[in-house]
Amino acid sequence: MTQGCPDIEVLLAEVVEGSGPLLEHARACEHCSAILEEHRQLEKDLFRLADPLPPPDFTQLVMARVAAQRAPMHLNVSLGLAIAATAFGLGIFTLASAGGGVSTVGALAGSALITAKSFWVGTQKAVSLLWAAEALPMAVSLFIILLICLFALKRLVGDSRVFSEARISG
Amino acid sequence: MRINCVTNAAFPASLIPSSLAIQSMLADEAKAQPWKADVIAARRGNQSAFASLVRSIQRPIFGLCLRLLRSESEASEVAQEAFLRAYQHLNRYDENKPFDLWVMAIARNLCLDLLRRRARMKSEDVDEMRDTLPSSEKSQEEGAIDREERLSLESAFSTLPTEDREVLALYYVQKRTTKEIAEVIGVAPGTIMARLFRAREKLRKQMTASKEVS
Repeated sequence: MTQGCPDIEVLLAEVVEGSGPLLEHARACEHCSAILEEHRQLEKDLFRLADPLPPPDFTQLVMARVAAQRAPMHLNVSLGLAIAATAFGLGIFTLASAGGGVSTVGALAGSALITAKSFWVGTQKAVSLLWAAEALPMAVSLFIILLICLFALKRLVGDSRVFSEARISG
Repeated sequence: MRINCVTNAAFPASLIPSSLAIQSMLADEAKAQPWKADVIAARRGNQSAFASLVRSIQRPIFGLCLRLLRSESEASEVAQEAFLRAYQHLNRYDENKPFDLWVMAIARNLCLDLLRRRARMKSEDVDEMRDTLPSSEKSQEEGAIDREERLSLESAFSTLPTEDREVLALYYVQKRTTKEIAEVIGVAPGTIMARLFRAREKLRKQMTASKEVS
């Protein structure tokens, strides 16, 4: 590179644009035009490179691994919502057509709410008493339960890392 | 695909697209998104549809893996893993986007993971790659660059850093657009050209240096 010669990346950017003062310089400068010519030749050679063929049994290898997997689960949200809405509608219709059914369900729901509240209060008392008496065994048990839950969740969800990495929104 | 076109007397015939027009529209869509039907079938558990998808894009996927990993056995392994992950997560794939780019992004990330894990490249891997890359079918058919020139180009190519190799491979070897490359790599499309210039200049310098040595 001689003094006054531009940075090659800036010059290449101007080559793409097709005009500019650096390009004018390159036309007059032997050093820069030689580099540009090398780049042109290199581009030509690079464009002629081809991807190599994969091994002949590549598709079979992939499909053997695919066959060992469970079929991909396709979550159809709209279909699920439609089924849920239909079931709910049918339930309401049945209750309404039975006459007096709605009030019975209301009484049952109220009763269930009261039972649940008393159960919650009782559980809270039992846990606080247990904690006061046997804190360490209880903490260990809770930790083991937490670990089992996390392990089960991981098995259920599988490896979804690929999507955060793929950077293509799904 | 068979089209059933029901005409409605309430609308003038000119407002209703003819069956030919609909067929043409569907054909255009199929041409624009050739993977769509196979993806939908594969999601329903049709494995031969997925095999068809694999066959249609295995070469660029394997090619990119080989250029990044520089080892045929590892490239094959990683490319298989990329397809397997694509199959497992097909429900997350947006079929309006190119399927090959999606799998390419998965394969690229797997390659980068492996490169990070690999402490340093073994010398036999380079030798293996030198034997592999020029033996590609298309290169033999075209015979455009003679073996010696291609070997020296591939050799200089393999010395470049991963980020240069991937951008050169995607742009020149696979003829991807800068927008597609940006989507695979996960960067702004405007940065791709600058990366290409930088990578090409490094390659030119590398080739000049090896010519001087020889």
